Amino acid sequence: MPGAPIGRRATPVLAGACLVLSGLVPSAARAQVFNYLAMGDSITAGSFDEENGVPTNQGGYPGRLDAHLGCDGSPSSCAIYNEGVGGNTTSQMLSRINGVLNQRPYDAMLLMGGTNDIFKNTSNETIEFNLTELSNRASARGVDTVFASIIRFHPSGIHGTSKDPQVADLRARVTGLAGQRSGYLADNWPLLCPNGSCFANHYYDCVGNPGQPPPCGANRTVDPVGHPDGSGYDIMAITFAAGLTFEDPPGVPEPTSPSGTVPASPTTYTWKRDPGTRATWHQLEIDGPGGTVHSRWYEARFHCGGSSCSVNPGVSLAPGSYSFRVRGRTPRGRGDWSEPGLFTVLAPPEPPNPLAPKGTFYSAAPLAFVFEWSTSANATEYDLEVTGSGTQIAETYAAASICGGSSCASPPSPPLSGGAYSWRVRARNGAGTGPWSKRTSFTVVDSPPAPPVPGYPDRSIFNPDPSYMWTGAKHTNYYRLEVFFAAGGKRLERTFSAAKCLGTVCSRSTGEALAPGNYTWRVIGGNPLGESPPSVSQAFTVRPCSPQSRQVQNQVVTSTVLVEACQTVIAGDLGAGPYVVGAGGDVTLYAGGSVEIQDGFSVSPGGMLTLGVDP
Amino acid sequence: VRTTSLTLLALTACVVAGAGALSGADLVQATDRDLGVFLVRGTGGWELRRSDSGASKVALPSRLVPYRLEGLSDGWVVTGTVAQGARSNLVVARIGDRPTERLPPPPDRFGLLRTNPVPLVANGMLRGLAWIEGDRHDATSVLAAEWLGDRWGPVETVSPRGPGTQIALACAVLAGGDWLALWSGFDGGDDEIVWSRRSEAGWTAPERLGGDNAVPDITPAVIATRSGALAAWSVYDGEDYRLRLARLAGDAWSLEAVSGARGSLYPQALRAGDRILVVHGTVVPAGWSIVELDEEGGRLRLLRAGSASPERPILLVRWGDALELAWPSPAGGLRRVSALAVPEPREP
Repeated sequence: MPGAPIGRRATPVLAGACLVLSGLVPSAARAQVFNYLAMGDSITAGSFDEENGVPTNQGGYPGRLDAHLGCDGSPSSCAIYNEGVGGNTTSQMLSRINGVLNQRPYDAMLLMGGTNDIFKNTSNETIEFNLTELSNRASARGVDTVFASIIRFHPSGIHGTSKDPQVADLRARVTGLAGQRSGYLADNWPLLCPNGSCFANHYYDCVGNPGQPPPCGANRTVDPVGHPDGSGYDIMAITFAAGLTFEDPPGVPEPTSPSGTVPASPTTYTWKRDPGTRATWHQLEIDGPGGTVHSRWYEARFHCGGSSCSVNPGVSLAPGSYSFRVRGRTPRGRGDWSEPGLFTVLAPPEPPNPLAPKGTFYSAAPLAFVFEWSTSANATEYDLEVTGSGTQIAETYAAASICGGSSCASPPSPPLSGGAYSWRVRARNGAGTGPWSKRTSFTVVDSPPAPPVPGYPDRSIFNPDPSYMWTGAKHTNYYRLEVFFAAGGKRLERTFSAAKCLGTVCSRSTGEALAPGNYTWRVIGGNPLGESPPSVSQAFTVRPCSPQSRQVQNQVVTSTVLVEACQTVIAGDLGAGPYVVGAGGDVTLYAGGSVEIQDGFSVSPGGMLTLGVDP
Repeated sequence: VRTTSLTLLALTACVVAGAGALSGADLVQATDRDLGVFLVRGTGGWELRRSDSGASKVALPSRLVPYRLEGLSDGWVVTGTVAQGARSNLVVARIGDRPTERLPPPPDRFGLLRTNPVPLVANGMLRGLAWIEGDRHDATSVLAAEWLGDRWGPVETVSPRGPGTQIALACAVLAGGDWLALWSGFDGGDDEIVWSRRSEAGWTAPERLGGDNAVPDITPAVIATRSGALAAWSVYDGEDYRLRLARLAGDAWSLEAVSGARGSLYPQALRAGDRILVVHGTVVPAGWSIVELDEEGGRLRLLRAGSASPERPILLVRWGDALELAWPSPAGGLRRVSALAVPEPREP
């Protein structure tokens, strides 16, 4: 309406100490200030705010409201920003509001408009549409709307009371909007005209009678609709304050979910509204290991039903520990934060550690196995996979049914016959399936071993206690060596553990010297299921030792050479290896320094061995 | 003072006299005969002023809210309303050099509210009047009556009571003599621009102009062109109200794409010779814009005048094609701001 906007726009219209201007208080404190936006036309701007023709300089109702709301400059106090523009219609406000809302984070918007729309031939239907859109714009930024009905046109003004039905109808529409949304209404409609009779002394007094001073004169603007004067703005401020201070700020909500351990990033957060209050918005804040993950205001009318509220913030949380808290807000102010709701977002479980079976099992009959592994934290299920020897087992077990303490044990498997097997296990929970464990092998042996194959000695030797060499069969636990006189009769018998063999190649001496003569020897393998048939018998001769007769000098070796007792090997350039200890007597080798080889040696094919004279 | 810059707005404040400001209730400008003439509520009552000469007192009710001023061959006709308690009465008066002549109100009144009176003038003669009438703002009919020289003819119903508000009536007399009426009517969902045409066969059934949509279409203006008429109104585009133009040729309307700055509102269509000027306020940037069109409604240029004044100005043609917007003061001064051509805005 006429009259320039009062010049206090975009600054807090706070009296006294409530000068919460940017830069005057620490940002953390400033962030707590509850910011009100007074959006409207000249009546919000405070036009015609005067008494007896003298401006009050109080800034209309927003300038008076701070005292009623207790905006005292403290960090948790409030500030009111006047964005009333003279002559503005709600249609025009739609083009202003985005810029206004961008200026600072507001908490609540005090929205009063429509007077100029009526004056400019706009329907109440469109005014209601515009007010709804304005409120939607605020809502989209987390700002609550306090709707306000407009005051009646001055009955002595140029419109008389002809606009009363439209103003009253607009009041009903605004009341409906308030009911649908915040529930807060500053009902200015009956303010200056209770019981249908208006207090003319609360209106600006120059209405529609130009040229007829007093009160109108050449220096006073005619008011075509009816603005409050200073006393009218006083009443209007009280009306806004009454709507806002009718209730205390909201109480404390109670987070309900998520809580505890959750299998995946929660999609929904729920809380109980504090009973007895009507928070119109709730702020949900989610904190994680790296700080605040999410903080946003949610409008209660969209997210709450009955006593509970739920929102889907669209936040994807990585596994870890989190908390969320909630606080309510009304146009009156913010409530306190709730206690944090703690929850942990699971990751897929770590792989278990297989415990048993592993190694070799001897049984003539097929064996059923119980597979055991260490538990994985937060696992709800385990997958077991066993393969080998034409068998494949894949089972899934509920952790609750097979685990106790720190380990889990499967039910007995189907019997497994002889063969090599491997197995692995993995864990699963609501966050997914973890990786497989390492494969663990085990073997089922169902028969005695095959007979070994004897090797050395198989010729004439000088060493009276040679190292007997043979190749054993798999799954042999021990060997029994038998040496016989060639003429008949057992000379000696020794039993050796297979554990000391190099793979299946075994080499053992008996520790007992044989007298020169002819002998045979054989070896038998054994395991828990029995002994193998004896190997074939190998003949050999022990000859007296004559050291000088077996010297070998400068001999290029292209295949394995066995060096026997009584043979002195000296000063050798070994060249490329590898060198493998073979059977034979004690030998001393000098090669590029000294290497002492016990019990003979051999050189692999392709290697070169030069033997020289003992220095 | 004028500049050829397309983007620079030069503001020229010529005369500022007196104090206070005038609202839309205090001012109305003739739309097509002499743009330099306007009716204003002066400090001593209503005055018919000329921008380049003096003013004459006009005997009109002090509480008149003027709606239209149209030129007649021997003066002007002003229409408006005067509130009497809860009633809103029509005022139709012939003014000019002769004493003010109040015409009787149209007959057969049935509603408490009679608003939006639009005089229908052709060839300098008052031919009729259209207005809105009802007991409530949202239960009104659009009515019209022919002026028979000394009395009103029977009241004609242009649009009966609708499902909601019918408001912002605008009318024009077409070149062939037909009457054209447009208004903003609530269709049960939102406000639409509705039109009806009166020929010898009577008024056509009201129709939407531009089809149905789900957003408000408000405050139409209309002016006759050589081949039909040009209408302008504001439509909400989801973020802002913007300007929409439509041309009537024969019996068919053609619509222009929505255009204009953010918050393009309250258009008024005026004629200056063979040019049509659609003046409307804008919110971003704040000020006023003028769409200048040729006789057929073809766009010629866009002009802007920056001014923080929220009050509707009058449009003045200074010389050649130079345009000014001016804000009269009650005491008699004019604050003038040059309107300068600017590029047509890109896609809003």
